[in-house]
This record gives sequence, C-alpha cells and structure tokens, in this order.
Amino acid sequence: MAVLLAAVLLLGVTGVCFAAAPQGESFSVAQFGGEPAAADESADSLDEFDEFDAAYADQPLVSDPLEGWNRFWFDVNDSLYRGVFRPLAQGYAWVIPPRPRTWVSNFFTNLLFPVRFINDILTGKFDAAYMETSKFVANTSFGVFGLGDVTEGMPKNWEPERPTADGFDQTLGKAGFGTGFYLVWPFVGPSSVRGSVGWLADAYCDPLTYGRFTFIEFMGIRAFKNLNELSLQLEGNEYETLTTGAVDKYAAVRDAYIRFRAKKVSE
Amino acid sequence: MFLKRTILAFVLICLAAVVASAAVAGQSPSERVHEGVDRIIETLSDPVMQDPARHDEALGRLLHVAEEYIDFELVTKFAVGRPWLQMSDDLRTRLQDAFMELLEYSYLKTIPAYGGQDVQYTREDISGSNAKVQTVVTDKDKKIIVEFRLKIVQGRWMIYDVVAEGVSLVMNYRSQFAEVLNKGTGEDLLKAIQDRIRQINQGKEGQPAS
Repeated sequence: MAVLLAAVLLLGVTGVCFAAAPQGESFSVAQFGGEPAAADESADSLDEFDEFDAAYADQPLVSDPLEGWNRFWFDVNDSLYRGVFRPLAQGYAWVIPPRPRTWVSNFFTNLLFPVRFINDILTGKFDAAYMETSKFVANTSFGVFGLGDVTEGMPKNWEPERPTADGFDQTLGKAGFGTGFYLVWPFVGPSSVRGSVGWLADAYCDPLTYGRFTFIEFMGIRAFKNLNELSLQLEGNEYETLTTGAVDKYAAVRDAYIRFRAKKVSE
Repeated sequence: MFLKRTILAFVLICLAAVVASAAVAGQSPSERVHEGVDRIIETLSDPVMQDPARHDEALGRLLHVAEEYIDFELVTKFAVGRPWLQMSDDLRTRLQDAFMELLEYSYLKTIPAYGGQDVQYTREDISGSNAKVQTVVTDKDKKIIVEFRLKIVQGRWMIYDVVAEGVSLVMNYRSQFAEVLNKGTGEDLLKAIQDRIRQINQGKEGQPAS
C-alpha cells in the first residue's frame, strides 16, 4: 500500500514538471502567442498586465492534461448535485430542524479529530494540536460524544497562531510535494494528484474506516454526513456562489480549487 | 550652515509632497473599502431591491453606488487579460457592460446573505499606487479572509479585485475567459457572457461547461 502511495506521489512530481513549462496545457495565466502591437503605448499597457500578474505570481501553475475526463465527470457531478443531492438536502432540511442537524455535524467534525491532530503534529502546529485535543476531550465527554460543541464561543478559546490543519493534502504540500495535475473524481469532486493521495491518507486516520461496517453501510454513512453538511449550507454555499456567475463553470471551479488549496498550503 | 538649510528645505519639500499626495488620495484604501461595503449592503438591504417589479431600477441604483468604489473597466480589463490590448474600443465597452451585468445578476442575490456578519479590517498595505486591504469576515465560528485590491484612479482609491480565501475574482474569470478566447475571438466571449446573462434571467442554471 505504501509503495502504491509513493508511486502515485512521484506521478504528482512529474505532474509539476509538466506544469513548470507554461505551454498550452497550463491554464492559469493564459499565454496568447499574439504579437504585441507596434505602438509604444502597448508596451506600457503590457507592463500593467505584468505588474498585475506579478501580484499573483506566488501561485503555482497547474496543468490539466486529462481535461476531457475531468470535464465529463464535472458535468456528471454537477447534474447529480442539481438533480439529486441538493433537492434531497432541501427535503431533509425541511423535515429536520437545524439544531439536530448541527449536532450531527458536530459529531462528525469531532470524530475527525485524529486527522487534524496528526496533521497538526506533522506540520509543527503544536499549539493547534493542543487546542484540538482539549476541544476533543471537552466535546466528547461534556458534549455527549461530540454531539454538542461545548467549546463554541467559550472565553477560554484561543486562536492558535496558524489555523488548524486541514488534512494530509496540506501536509504534503508543506513538505514540498507539488500539486500534480488536476483531477475530477465522480462524487468526490475536484482534486489533484496530491489531493487524492491526501484524501486516501485522511481516510486511514478517520475512525469511521475502522468501524465494522460493510462497504454499503460505510458509503451510506459518508453520504449521510455529506447530505447533512449540505443541508446546513443551502443558502450561499461556495459551490453555488462560484458557479452561478460563471461563464464556464468547469474553469471557475478548477481555478478556485487550485488557488484555495495553494492558500491552505501557505497557512 | 548652507548645507543644513538645503537639507531642511529638501526635507520640508518631501514632507509637503507626501502630505499633498495623501491629500490627493483623500481617503485611505481601508476607508474607501469600508464606506463602499457599507453603502452597497445598505442599498441591497432596502426592500425595494428585492421587489421584482422594480428590478431594473434596483439594478441601476446598485450600479450607481458600486461604480463609485469599484473600477469596472479595470476589472474587465484584467479579467480579459492581454487580449484586451488587441481589442477595439467598441468591443471593450460592450464587454465591460456585459461583464458588469453578469456580475450584478450573479451576486445580487447572494450578497444579502452576508449581511450581519462581523467584518474586521485587519491590514492595509500600500505600495505606490497599489493597495491591499485585508478583512476578516466572521460567520459564527467560520472566519473567512477577504482581501480587496485597489489602485489610484483619478485621485481616488478604487477597488479592482476581491480575493476570498486565496481565490481572486478577476483571476477566476480570467481562467474562464481564457477558455473561450483560446478557441475564439473577443466577439465569442461577448456572446458567451450575454448567453449566460440570458440564462440567469430565465432562471436556468446553465450548462456545466459552456
């Protein structure tokens, strides 16, 4: 298993090599082969664009060599979201009031403590690790197995110096692994080579994985968790905000995903 | 003695220049963002805005307020990218108008959902005629970092980009427009934007990839 993970990671590294050469496949900053116009003023105007782009230069270029596959699954996921998941979540939200749904959300968040804790340690965020531990202990005992978030809004809460760890994808990024190329998985959604490895590793740290569930039960629990989360974010959720105003939804989500992950790595 | 006087005069002139340039800029970037955000939310919170019968009037008012703080020409220019330089003035104007309309229709409904969140202005960086204003929007336990980017245009600080959690609005649109411009012309881009506006108006969600 470890060998497989290592092999996939190396694939990611080669993906970065693809990205390093800003040719047709890289999409972040479009390079048009147009000849600059003869007039001097366009040289100044070009400077303006260079200056603008320089402000975003810390963001890596990511290639999308599997665009056909990615666009296909993006379409599928988008249709599933609009046709199945969102209506289901709306119905669920209509039947169950917000408080119990928040409890369920708290429960699952609390359960993912090992993922955050391990990655906090791995990235040297010891203060965040300490905060996570004390929250976990408080919520699991006083909060009835994590259903209640007793630590919310408490005066004893302090902000760790850097935000708590996100998952293994972030840890790998901090270790210097490139994103690899962009990938869209059915159901799971936008990801990358590194992101997919991270997702797998997080699954190993998720206590749910170790419960004695059949595959169907396990998928069912995951689906329920996601449905519950969606039901709490029906108004103004990020996916809708991003795609409503988009001329090309696929490109919008791809750009947002890549930049958001890059920001997470820098935190 | 003479040298001292010269240096003193020089320092005074420099100080005067700094004060003058600050006066020219008037409000600081943070003040501009603060005022703009407050006024836009105030305009959107007006019940008149949600009345579908007075939709056009509402949009007109919103546009009027937004234009005082956001430089839409810069937004469109940077969203289109370098091909802008090759475009005719007529095409540029039409693209700007279409893009403005798209932004209004898309975000008009979502901004009121952000009313009532606590917004803290945490940082301001100014370098020459560019500025970044960092804010933290707190929604219950979630903290979102939103950064406004401004430039001096005709003596005032104007917003030309909004970066939320690392995702820049302008760059996001640029990556979308690049998809169209790579395969077609500026006219194709204009048509794509207008098609999307029509779809939003009809209440349709639009195809995943246009």
